[in-house]
Amino acid sequence: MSSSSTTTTTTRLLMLKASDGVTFEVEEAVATKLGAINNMVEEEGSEDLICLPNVNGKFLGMVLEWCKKHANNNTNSDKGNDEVNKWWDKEFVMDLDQNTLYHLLMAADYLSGTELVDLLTEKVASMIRGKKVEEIRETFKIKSDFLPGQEEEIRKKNSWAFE
Amino acid sequence: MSEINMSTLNDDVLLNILLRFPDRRSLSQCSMVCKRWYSLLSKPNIRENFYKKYSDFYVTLFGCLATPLIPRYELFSNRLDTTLHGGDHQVYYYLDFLPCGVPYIRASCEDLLLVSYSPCEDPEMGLGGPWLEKYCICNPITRDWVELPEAPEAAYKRCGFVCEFKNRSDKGQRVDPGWRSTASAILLLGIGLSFLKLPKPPIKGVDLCASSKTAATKD
Repeated sequence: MSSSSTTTTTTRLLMLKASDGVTFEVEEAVATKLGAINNMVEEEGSEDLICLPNVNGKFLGMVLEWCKKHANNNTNSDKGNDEVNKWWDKEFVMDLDQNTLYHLLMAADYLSGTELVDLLTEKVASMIRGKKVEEIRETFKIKSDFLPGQEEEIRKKNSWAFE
Repeated sequence: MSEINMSTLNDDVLLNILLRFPDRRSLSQCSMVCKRWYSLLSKPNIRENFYKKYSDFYVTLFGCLATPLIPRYELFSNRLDTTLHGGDHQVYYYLDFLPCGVPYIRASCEDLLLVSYSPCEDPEMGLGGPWLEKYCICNPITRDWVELPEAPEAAYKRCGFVCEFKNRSDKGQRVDPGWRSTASAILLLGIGLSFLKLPKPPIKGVDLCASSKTAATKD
């Protein structure tokens, strides 16, 4: 977590434009929680308007909401903030449906929001943890595309895992 | 804004999800789900690369010794606030790669376990007690283990882990003091598995301890 501009006192505002034309005005310190935007800002002579053709406004808004929370809580380095962030993160991912979850994941990955990617992938992992193969397929609506016999063969090879 | 599902995620993101299960059982289950998951998880060195990337991920390990007959252990991540390995099953389930009947967890340090076991085959003999003379340090995630050499003679042995600062030293040690005596020994893992006799226990009040280096996960 390297914050690039902690010494400057004037807050620069950036305009982020999503794929559907929705724009967000955010402080630089918030937007640079995203690695991709941080890179763009560090380029000399960068403009204040940044177009993000791969992210829909709805999800960009959610990503920025997460950034704002974490940027704010990072400025004063209280120990309690760690707990607050954790609690907030838990609430953030608690009721996400799968569709939103994947859209957010792709947005966070595209914008190099590493911490947010970690949070979201862990949420998906928690939906897999402890499930059997068939239950995983059902949860994520995945069809087995193994050829007949192929699955049986792999299962035999790993038979100890299915006891 | 289209409906999307898991198959839309790119390989990096999907792997980030799937490799949150550090044990081979879960990985095997996952690799059976579909061809894509199978081929992702079949890539060589996939877990090692993940560990390198997320080396601060797996932090604390609890060896739960509530009752010696049903030992449990849990690998817990502070950062994620979640159990990553162990937990629901008896510990034998995770230690089945050890060449002994009934392993007995003595101590833990990060993701390593110090396990003692009876050298004799009789499982009746393997349940706790001071006659367990063989020790090994193992990593249930990578399923690596190393047998420790015989400790010097002592009427009663106890052992544990001492954590050394990672940046100061990479050697580990195990101490087996004699019962109520000041004699103790340290096993130095870094320099070829040998015991050093010490004049007295290194830490007062903790008359037995041992250790590993870091949560090394090399295969």
